[in-house]
Amino acid sequence: MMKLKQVAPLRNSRGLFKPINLSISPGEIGVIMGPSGVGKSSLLDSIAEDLPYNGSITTKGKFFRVFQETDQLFPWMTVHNNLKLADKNIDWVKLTKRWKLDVCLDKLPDCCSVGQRQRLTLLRALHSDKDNILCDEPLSGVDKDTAVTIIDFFKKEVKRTQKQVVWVTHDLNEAKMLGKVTRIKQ
Amino acid sequence: MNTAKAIAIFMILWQIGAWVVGNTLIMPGLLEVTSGVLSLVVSFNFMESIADTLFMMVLSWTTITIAMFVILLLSTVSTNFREITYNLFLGLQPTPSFAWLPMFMLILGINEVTLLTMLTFTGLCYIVPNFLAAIGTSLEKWKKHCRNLDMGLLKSIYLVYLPSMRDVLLANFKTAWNLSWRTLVALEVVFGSIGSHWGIGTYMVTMKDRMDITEMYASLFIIIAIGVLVSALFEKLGSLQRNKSYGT
Repeated sequence: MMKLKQVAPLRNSRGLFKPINLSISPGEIGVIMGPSGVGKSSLLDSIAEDLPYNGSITTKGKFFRVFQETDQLFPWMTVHNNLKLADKNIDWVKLTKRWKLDVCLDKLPDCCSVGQRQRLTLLRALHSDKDNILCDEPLSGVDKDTAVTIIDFFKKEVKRTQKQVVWVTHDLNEAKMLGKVTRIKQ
Repeated sequence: MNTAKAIAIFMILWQIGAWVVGNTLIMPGLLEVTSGVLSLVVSFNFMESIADTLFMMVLSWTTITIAMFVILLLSTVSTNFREITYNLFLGLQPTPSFAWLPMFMLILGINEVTLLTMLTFTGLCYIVPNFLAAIGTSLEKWKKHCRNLDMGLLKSIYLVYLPSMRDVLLANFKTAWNLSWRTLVALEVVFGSIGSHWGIGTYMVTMKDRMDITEMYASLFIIIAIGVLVSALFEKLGSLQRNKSYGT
């Protein structure tokens, strides 16, 4: 279980926004919503212990971060090799088949669509050996229809893998589809 | 195809030049030079000279590669090292490598070590700033992903940083090879034999001193041919990598 009590990231010893509370159980997605520039990504830095903060954060295990860019797979190696970097022992063929992503396995990431790449990135994060996934607006470069497909896929996989996910976004529709929303106020 | 056209134009211009000059002791025609090239290729002395020059190039490139690997290793772990080294070599880059020669000669004498130092220094001065800029970009983009995947230093260098920089590396290695090649042949031409080093430039200037003009020009043609071949090799290597990258 991940618990944030009265947490606000600090820059120059000042809290970036009003402290927030949040608790996320395994298999659950905690959505953080707020306008651009409010400090959402800084909150993820604080959770990953890369940035000082006020309040207390309780969690177990390591973090896997998913970023905004749509090219988070190494473009010079095949998708299969990219996935194997997260865990060699997983049967990635079987896993990608379930989501109709197995067609991408032998391709280079650039030869897959943006939606496929993002789903593969999220799949790799969810099946890594990390307990906590921190997603920093991973759908910002994706159109709405693709975003809906990805969210549906992601929610099912989170339930299956029982990971704890913090997802930051500034898109209200995306936030509503994902799970319980905590709003950040300056 | 364009290279073949350029070579053809060069040959036509050469032959026109030879006709205009009209003196084989100053500028022999293509036929004489080509027969000179053929006789040089089977000459033991000439092949020994080429081997000497190429061995020196390989030696300097091995030294440069080792130096680059150490710089890459240290730059990955220390931003301060990267920035200081970048500024140092960026400051040295515009200085002609020949300006350092008197200093190297005073310290090391006139021998192969001086040659090796000059070539390595010339190559490093060109490559290091560009290489460090590429490392900076690569680290900025990929370091967080390496951290995500718990990659160690050597694994991330081998699997991520080097492949992400391969186009920049190839382009810089090519230009630095050209610079080192020019420096080495120029040194051989200017100094004749350097220590026990007897390279292709030395051979060429010796032929001139003996008034064996056809062989002198034949040596020049072979120097040009080696330059063209190595450039073509780097181009081929670059296009192979690009094709592999984009799966075409």
